[in-house]
Amino acid sequence: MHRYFALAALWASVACAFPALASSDYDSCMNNAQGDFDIAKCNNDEVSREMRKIQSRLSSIMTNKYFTQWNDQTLSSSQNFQTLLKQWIDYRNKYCSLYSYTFSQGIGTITDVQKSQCMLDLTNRFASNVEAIVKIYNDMAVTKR
Amino acid sequence: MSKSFSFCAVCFFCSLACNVFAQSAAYNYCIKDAAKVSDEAMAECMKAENSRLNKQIYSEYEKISKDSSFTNWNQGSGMFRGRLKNLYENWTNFKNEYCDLYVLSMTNYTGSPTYNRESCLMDMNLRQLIYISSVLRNYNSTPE
Repeated sequence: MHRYFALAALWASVACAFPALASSDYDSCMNNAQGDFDIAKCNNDEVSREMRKIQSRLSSIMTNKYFTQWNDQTLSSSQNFQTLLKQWIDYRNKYCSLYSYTFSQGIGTITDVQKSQCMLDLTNRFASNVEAIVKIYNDMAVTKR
Repeated sequence: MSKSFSFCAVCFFCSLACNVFAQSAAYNYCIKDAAKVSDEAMAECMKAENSRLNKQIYSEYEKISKDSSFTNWNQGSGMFRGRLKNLYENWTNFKNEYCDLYVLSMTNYTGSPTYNRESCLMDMNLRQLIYISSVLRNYNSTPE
Protein backbone atom coordinates (compact mmCIF):
# COMPACT_ATOMS: atom_id res chain seq x y z
CA MET A 1 0.00 0.00 0.00
CA HIS A 2 2.80 2.43 0.82
CA ARG A 3 3.90 2.27 -2.82
CA TYR A 4 0.59 3.87 -3.80
CA PHE A 5 1.09 6.67 -1.34
CA ALA A 6 4.64 7.23 -2.57
CA LEU A 7 3.38 7.41 -6.15
CA ALA A 8 0.48 9.65 -5.17
CA ALA A 9 2.89 11.93 -3.34
CA LEU A 10 5.18 12.05 -6.37
CA TRP A 11 2.21 12.75 -8.63
CA ALA A 12 0.88 15.51 -6.34
CA SER A 13 4.28 17.11 -5.88
CA VAL A 14 4.90 17.24 -9.63
CA ALA A 15 1.39 18.52 -10.27
CA CYS A 16 1.61 21.27 -7.64
CA ALA A 17 5.12 22.41 -8.52
CA PHE A 18 4.13 24.28 -11.68
CA PRO A 19 4.33 27.91 -10.49
CA ALA A 20 8.04 27.63 -9.81
CA LEU A 21 8.79 26.76 -13.41
CA ALA A 22 8.49 30.20 -15.07
CA SER A 23 11.35 30.82 -17.50
CA SER A 24 13.90 33.61 -17.05
CA ASP A 25 12.60 35.14 -20.29
CA TYR A 26 9.18 35.37 -18.67
CA ASP A 27 10.52 36.94 -15.47
CA SER A 28 12.52 39.45 -17.45
CA CYS A 29 9.53 40.27 -19.66
CA MET A 30 7.25 40.78 -16.65
CA ASN A 31 9.81 42.99 -14.91
CA ASN A 32 9.85 45.30 -17.93
CA ALA A 33 6.08 45.21 -18.58
CA GLN A 34 4.56 48.68 -18.66
CA GLY A 35 0.90 47.78 -18.63
CA ASP A 36 -1.84 45.31 -19.44
CA PHE A 37 -0.86 44.90 -23.09
CA ASP A 38 2.74 44.04 -22.14
CA ILE A 39 1.69 41.67 -19.36
CA ALA A 40 -0.63 39.80 -21.72
CA LYS A 41 2.18 39.56 -24.27
CA CYS A 42 4.60 38.17 -21.66
CA ASN A 43 2.03 35.55 -20.67
CA ASN A 44 1.28 34.60 -24.27
CA ASP A 45 4.98 34.30 -25.13
CA GLU A 46 5.48 32.06 -22.10
CA VAL A 47 2.54 29.91 -23.19
CA SER A 48 4.21 29.46 -26.60
CA ARG A 49 7.49 28.49 -24.94
CA GLU A 50 5.70 26.00 -22.67
CA MET A 51 3.82 24.49 -25.60
CA ARG A 52 7.11 23.88 -27.42
CA LYS A 53 8.47 22.21 -24.28
CA ILE A 54 5.37 20.02 -23.98
CA GLN A 55 5.72 18.89 -27.61
CA SER A 56 9.37 18.19 -27.05
CA ARG A 57 8.79 16.18 -23.85
CA LEU A 58 6.07 14.14 -25.51
CA SER A 59 8.27 13.54 -28.54
CA SER A 60 10.79 11.96 -26.18
CA ILE A 61 8.40 9.08 -25.46
CA MET A 62 6.92 8.74 -28.95
CA THR A 63 8.99 5.63 -29.63
CA ASN A 64 8.53 4.16 -26.15
CA LYS A 65 6.71 0.87 -26.71
CA TYR A 66 4.44 1.33 -23.69
CA PHE A 67 3.40 4.74 -24.92
CA THR A 68 2.82 3.52 -28.48
CA GLN A 69 0.63 0.76 -27.02
CA TRP A 70 -1.75 3.53 -25.96
CA ASN A 71 -0.99 5.67 -28.96
CA ASP A 72 -2.87 3.44 -31.45
CA GLN A 73 -0.27 0.70 -31.08
CA THR A 74 1.86 1.80 -34.01
CA LEU A 75 5.05 3.79 -34.14
CA SER A 76 3.90 5.90 -37.07
CA SER A 77 0.47 6.90 -35.81
CA SER A 78 -0.10 9.48 -33.13
CA GLN A 79 -3.86 9.64 -33.51
CA ASN A 80 -4.72 9.37 -29.87
CA PHE A 81 -2.07 11.74 -28.73
CA GLN A 82 -3.06 14.35 -31.31
CA THR A 83 -6.70 13.94 -30.28
CA LEU A 84 -5.78 14.37 -26.63
CA LEU A 85 -3.77 17.48 -27.36
CA LYS A 86 -6.47 18.96 -29.55
CA GLN A 87 -9.17 18.32 -26.94
CA TRP A 88 -7.05 19.93 -24.31
CA ILE A 89 -6.19 23.01 -26.41
CA ASP A 90 -9.86 23.48 -27.33
CA TYR A 91 -10.85 23.12 -23.69
CA ARG A 92 -8.14 25.52 -22.47
CA ASN A 93 -8.97 28.21 -25.03
CA LYS A 94 -12.70 28.09 -24.39
CA TYR A 95 -12.40 27.92 -20.62
CA CYS A 96 -10.00 30.87 -20.50
CA SER A 97 -12.26 32.86 -22.78
CA LEU A 98 -15.13 32.21 -20.38
CA TYR A 99 -12.98 32.84 -17.31
CA SER A 100 -11.74 36.19 -18.60
CA TYR A 101 -15.27 37.15 -19.62
CA THR A 102 -16.29 37.15 -15.96
CA PHE A 103 -14.04 40.14 -15.28
CA SER A 104 -15.09 42.61 -17.94
CA GLN A 105 -17.42 40.85 -20.38
CA GLY A 106 -14.83 41.06 -23.14
CA ILE A 107 -14.37 44.83 -22.81
CA GLY A 108 -11.07 46.49 -21.95
CA THR A 109 -7.48 45.32 -21.66
CA ILE A 110 -8.01 43.44 -18.38
CA THR A 111 -9.80 40.70 -20.33
CA ASP A 112 -6.62 39.95 -22.31
CA VAL A 113 -4.54 39.94 -19.13
CA GLN A 114 -6.89 37.55 -17.35
CA LYS A 115 -7.21 35.32 -20.38
CA SER A 116 -3.45 35.10 -20.92
CA GLN A 117 -2.87 34.42 -17.21
CA CYS A 118 -5.47 31.67 -17.29
CA MET A 119 -3.88 30.18 -20.45
CA LEU A 120 -0.49 30.21 -18.75
CA ASP A 121 -1.81 28.56 -15.60
CA LEU A 122 -3.59 25.77 -17.47
CA THR A 123 -0.61 25.25 -19.78
CA ASN A 124 1.74 24.96 -16.81
CA ARG A 125 -0.58 22.49 -15.17
CA PHE A 126 -0.83 20.43 -18.34
CA ALA A 127 2.97 20.54 -18.61
CA SER A 128 3.17 19.09 -15.08
CA ASN A 129 0.77 16.31 -16.02
CA VAL A 130 2.75 15.56 -19.16
CA GLU A 131 5.97 15.55 -17.16
CA ALA A 132 4.52 13.02 -14.72
CA ILE A 133 3.43 10.79 -17.61
CA VAL A 134 6.82 11.09 -19.34
CA LYS A 135 8.61 10.16 -16.11
CA ILE A 136 6.44 7.08 -15.65
CA TYR A 137 6.89 5.90 -19.24
CA ASN A 138 10.63 6.48 -19.10
CA ASP A 139 10.84 4.57 -15.82
CA MET A 140 8.91 1.70 -17.37
CA ALA A 141 11.25 1.61 -20.33
CA VAL A 142 14.15 1.16 -17.91
CA THR A 143 12.59 -1.26 -15.44
CA LYS A 144 10.72 -3.47 -17.95
CA ARG A 145 13.38 -3.62 -20.65
CA MET B 1 2.82 46.52 -10.05
CA SER B 2 3.16 43.79 -12.64
CA LYS B 3 5.14 41.72 -10.13
CA SER B 4 2.51 42.00 -7.43
CA PHE B 5 -0.21 41.21 -9.94
CA SER B 6 1.70 38.15 -11.07
CA PHE B 7 2.32 37.06 -7.49
CA CYS B 8 -1.37 37.41 -6.59
CA ALA B 9 -2.40 35.50 -9.69
CA VAL B 10 0.06 32.70 -8.91
CA CYS B 11 -1.18 32.51 -5.29
CA PHE B 12 -4.77 32.44 -6.48
CA PHE B 13 -4.21 29.69 -9.00
CA CYS B 14 -2.00 27.72 -6.62
CA SER B 15 -4.69 27.82 -3.99
CA LEU B 16 -7.16 26.61 -6.61
CA ALA B 17 -4.93 23.98 -8.08
CA CYS B 18 -3.58 22.53 -4.85
CA ASN B 19 -6.89 22.53 -3.05
CA VAL B 20 -7.95 19.36 -4.81
CA PHE B 21 -8.40 17.10 -1.83
CA ALA B 22 -11.81 18.41 -0.72
CA GLN B 23 -13.84 15.25 -1.18
CA SER B 24 -17.23 14.64 0.41
CA ALA B 25 -17.63 13.26 3.94
CA ALA B 26 -19.27 10.15 2.48
CA TYR B 27 -16.21 9.51 0.35
CA ASN B 28 -13.79 10.01 3.25
CA TYR B 29 -15.83 7.61 5.35
CA CYS B 30 -15.97 5.04 2.54
CA ILE B 31 -12.28 5.17 1.61
CA LYS B 32 -11.19 4.86 5.24
CA ASP B 33 -12.70 1.38 5.45
CA ALA B 34 -11.97 0.38 1.87
CA ALA B 35 -8.26 1.14 2.23
CA LYS B 36 -8.04 -1.85 4.59
CA VAL B 37 -9.69 -4.14 2.02
CA SER B 38 -8.47 -3.80 -1.58
CA ASP B 39 -7.87 -1.61 -4.62
CA GLU B 40 -11.26 -2.58 -5.95
CA ALA B 41 -13.02 -1.51 -2.75
CA MET B 42 -11.28 1.86 -2.90
CA ALA B 43 -12.17 2.17 -6.59
CA GLU B 44 -15.83 1.69 -5.67
CA CYS B 45 -15.63 4.60 -3.22
CA MET B 46 -13.99 6.77 -5.88
CA LYS B 47 -16.55 5.73 -8.46
CA ALA B 48 -19.37 6.92 -6.20
CA GLU B 49 -17.52 10.14 -5.51
CA ASN B 50 -16.91 10.67 -9.22
CA SER B 51 -20.60 10.22 -9.90
CA ARG B 52 -21.37 12.92 -7.32
CA LEU B 53 -18.69 15.21 -8.74
CA ASN B 54 -19.90 14.74 -12.32
CA LYS B 55 -23.40 15.80 -11.29
CA GLN B 56 -22.03 18.81 -9.46
CA ILE B 57 -19.89 19.85 -12.43
CA TYR B 58 -22.82 19.48 -14.81
CA SER B 59 -24.94 21.54 -12.47
CA GLU B 60 -22.31 24.34 -12.47
CA TYR B 61 -22.36 24.37 -16.28
CA GLU B 62 -26.14 24.54 -16.24
CA LYS B 63 -26.06 27.46 -13.80
CA ILE B 64 -23.75 29.39 -16.12
CA SER B 65 -25.93 28.61 -19.14
CA LYS B 66 -29.00 29.93 -17.33
CA ASP B 67 -27.29 33.14 -16.23
CA SER B 68 -28.22 35.86 -18.73
CA SER B 69 -24.84 37.57 -18.18
CA PHE B 70 -23.23 34.77 -20.14
CA THR B 71 -25.70 34.58 -23.01
CA ASN B 72 -23.53 36.83 -25.13
CA TRP B 73 -20.42 34.70 -24.54
CA ASN B 74 -22.43 31.58 -25.24
CA GLN B 75 -23.21 32.80 -28.77
CA GLY B 76 -26.65 34.03 -27.85
CA SER B 77 -27.77 30.77 -26.38
CA GLY B 78 -29.47 30.83 -23.00
CA MET B 79 -29.51 27.05 -22.78
CA PHE B 80 -26.88 24.41 -22.23
CA ARG B 81 -25.59 24.45 -25.78
CA GLY B 82 -23.30 26.55 -27.95
CA ARG B 83 -19.79 27.31 -26.72
CA LEU B 84 -20.57 26.23 -23.17
CA LYS B 85 -21.65 22.77 -24.27
CA ASN B 86 -18.57 22.54 -26.50
CA LEU B 87 -16.44 23.48 -23.52
CA TYR B 88 -18.05 20.74 -21.44
CA GLU B 89 -17.56 18.18 -24.20
CA ASN B 90 -13.95 19.22 -24.81
CA TRP B 91 -13.21 18.78 -21.14
CA THR B 92 -15.01 15.43 -20.87
CA ASN B 93 -13.22 14.05 -23.94
CA PHE B 94 -9.87 15.32 -22.74
CA LYS B 95 -10.42 13.85 -19.29
CA ASN B 96 -11.24 10.41 -20.70
CA GLU B 97 -8.33 10.40 -23.16
CA TYR B 98 -5.89 11.61 -20.55
CA CYS B 99 -7.02 9.06 -17.96
CA ASP B 100 -6.68 6.29 -20.57
CA LEU B 101 -3.08 7.32 -21.01
CA TYR B 102 -2.56 7.55 -17.26
CA VAL B 103 -4.16 4.16 -16.60
CA LEU B 104 -1.96 2.42 -19.12
CA SER B 105 1.16 3.97 -17.66
CA MET B 106 0.22 3.00 -14.11
CA THR B 107 -1.04 -0.46 -15.05
CA ASN B 108 2.42 -1.37 -16.21
CA TYR B 109 3.76 0.07 -13.00
CA THR B 110 1.44 -0.63 -10.07
CA GLY B 111 -2.22 -0.66 -9.01
CA SER B 112 -5.35 -2.08 -10.61
CA PRO B 113 -6.69 -0.42 -13.78
CA THR B 114 -10.02 0.39 -12.09
CA TYR B 115 -8.28 1.98 -9.12
CA ASN B 116 -5.98 4.03 -11.33
CA ARG B 117 -8.76 5.12 -13.64
CA GLU B 118 -11.10 6.25 -10.85
CA SER B 119 -8.22 7.95 -9.09
CA CYS B 120 -7.28 9.88 -12.24
CA LEU B 121 -10.91 10.81 -12.95
CA MET B 122 -11.39 12.03 -9.40
CA ASP B 123 -8.33 14.25 -9.60
CA MET B 124 -9.55 15.71 -12.90
CA ASN B 125 -13.11 16.13 -11.61
CA LEU B 126 -12.08 17.90 -8.43
CA ARG B 127 -9.91 20.32 -10.38
CA GLN B 128 -12.62 20.93 -12.96
CA LEU B 129 -15.16 21.63 -10.25
CA ILE B 130 -12.85 24.25 -8.75
CA TYR B 131 -12.24 25.86 -12.14
CA ILE B 132 -15.82 25.92 -13.38
CA SER B 133 -17.32 27.04 -10.09
CA SER B 134 -14.87 29.97 -10.06
CA VAL B 135 -16.60 31.42 -13.14
CA LEU B 136 -19.83 32.51 -11.46
CA ARG B 137 -18.06 33.24 -8.19
CA ASN B 138 -15.66 35.62 -9.96
CA TYR B 139 -18.42 37.20 -11.94
CA ASN B 140 -20.51 37.86 -8.83
CA SER B 141 -17.56 39.29 -6.93
CA THR B 142 -16.38 41.61 -9.73
CA PRO B 143 -17.50 45.22 -9.14
CA GLU B 144 -19.76 46.77 -11.79
